[in-house]
Amino acid sequence: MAEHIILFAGPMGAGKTTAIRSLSEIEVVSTEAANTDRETADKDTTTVALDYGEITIGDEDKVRLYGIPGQRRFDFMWSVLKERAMGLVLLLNADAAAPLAQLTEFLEEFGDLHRTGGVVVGITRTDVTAGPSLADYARTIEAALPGSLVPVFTVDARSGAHMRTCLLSLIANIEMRSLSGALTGQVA
Amino acid sequence: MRSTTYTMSLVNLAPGQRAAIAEAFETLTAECSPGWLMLDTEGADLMIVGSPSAGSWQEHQLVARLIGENELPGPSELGLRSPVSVIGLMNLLEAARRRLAALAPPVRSGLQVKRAVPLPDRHETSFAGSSFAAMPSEAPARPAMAGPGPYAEDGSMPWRAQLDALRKPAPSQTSQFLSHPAPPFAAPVSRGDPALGAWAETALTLYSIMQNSAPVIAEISIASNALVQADFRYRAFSSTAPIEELPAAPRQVTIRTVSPPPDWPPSFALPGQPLDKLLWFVGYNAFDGAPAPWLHPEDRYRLQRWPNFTEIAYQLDHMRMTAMIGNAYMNPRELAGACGAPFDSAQRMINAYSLMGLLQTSPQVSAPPVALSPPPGQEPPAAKAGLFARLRQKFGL
Repeated sequence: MAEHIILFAGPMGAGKTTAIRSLSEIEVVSTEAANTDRETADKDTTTVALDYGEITIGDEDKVRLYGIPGQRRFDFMWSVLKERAMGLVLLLNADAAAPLAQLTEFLEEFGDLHRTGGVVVGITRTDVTAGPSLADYARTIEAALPGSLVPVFTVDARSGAHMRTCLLSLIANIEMRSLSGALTGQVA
Repeated sequence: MRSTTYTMSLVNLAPGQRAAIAEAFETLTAECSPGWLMLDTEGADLMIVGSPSAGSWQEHQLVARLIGENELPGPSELGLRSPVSVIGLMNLLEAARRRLAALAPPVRSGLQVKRAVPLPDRHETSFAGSSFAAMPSEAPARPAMAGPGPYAEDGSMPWRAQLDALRKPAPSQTSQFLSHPAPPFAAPVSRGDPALGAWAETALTLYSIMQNSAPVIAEISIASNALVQADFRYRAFSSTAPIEELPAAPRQVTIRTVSPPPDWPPSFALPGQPLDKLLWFVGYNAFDGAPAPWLHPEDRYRLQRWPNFTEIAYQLDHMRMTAMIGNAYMNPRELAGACGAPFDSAQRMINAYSLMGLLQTSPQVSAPPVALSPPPGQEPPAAKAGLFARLRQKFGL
């Protein structure tokens, strides 16, 4: 059975755990602890190791969904998982103090995943505050990963439809990049 | 269906001159099928300028100068006599059309689908300066105009019937969509062209607004179904009906625009809905699956920015095609072939994305065609294999 690892990253409170719950077919395994950093995210608990969910497709494929903790003190987990991952769903909350700076920070950490697989960015909590425009996020991505075209969507992590859109666009981008590479000789 | 062939633009003209030409355009637009577009771009086929040194133009571009009563245009110029009349404008367009038609197609690069460099005086006039003109392509052959034009007011010309119609008083226009008093600028009324689909005229008007980055308010009436207000200052719109429920092929769509004063309040409660959602709907449903008039069918396109797929009503084929042109330049036929999607769907998507300003055009306009389509009845491997396809099936999409 082929295994496909998709990471969900982002700062604390961006909705990673919720997003995985929206997609997973199994009860999501969460490692949450009481949140002692109320200034960063006003919520009761936060992920300290991993969230895990999965989607099984027949007998052939299993999509493993890993949510990695947002705090930098757990970043040793990031490097372990990103080596095996095919793609990244990066979630950012629009009402954070500096979402564009957070975007840059995470792209610096996970930029090589864009080269080896794919990245899609989901902006949550846009219903709470508008925050930067999608064009602002796109410009920040272009600055961090010149020449890259990363999908950026506004999302509600509680919405299965939104998270399916993120996942499918991530996979589509990875597959079409591979196919376009094969066709480049003809098209260029 | 007739597709628009030529584009024109106004450069370095006084506000009054621009308004006079635009008014003549509007009169033609109201009576004729589109054959010309007026856009705010330096890449137009015909540039109407105010002085001989107004700019430097490409070989394939024609230049027409606004000239006084006793003045003659330069040897390589066309002329448009001032004061501008509808007849004079028709003469100019006919002369330009004939000259452009005589050029070999590969020489003309045509309109590039990207945001045009704004003209210096674009904010000095009302939006009436950025509208559309029409010219039947079956107009009789005439020599290039340098003096008296082919259309005279003696009733002997084949356009006489249309000219008579042009003299009818314009219907009165009243503003209904703003809760505030009407802004000071009168707005043109555009009518849907049945040959292009009812959304075509709306798409053309919205495209011009986008190209101009014009801070206007547009009101779109869809038969008796709904009223849409789009405020381009805030890149937002509001609709009396969910946009997904608007008819793809309504009997009639009417669009009118107003250019509000700088301190004019929003025409609806903000934030409204994102403008891209409206542009996608209009661009996708206009032109009945044919290329938008501002596109060259064989040009190749690449995505500059992904649309927000959680806001627009897309199909999964669009997602795959979007990913493909995010990674390679393709024309709609190549795109459909590579992704195993219907050509109609690819063309509609390209139309919509170009309206939304999401595309860049390949400089290799004359590159040879690429055959990517699988044999009839067969899907390309990428369409039925791969994790995307299996997930799609898994999700029941």
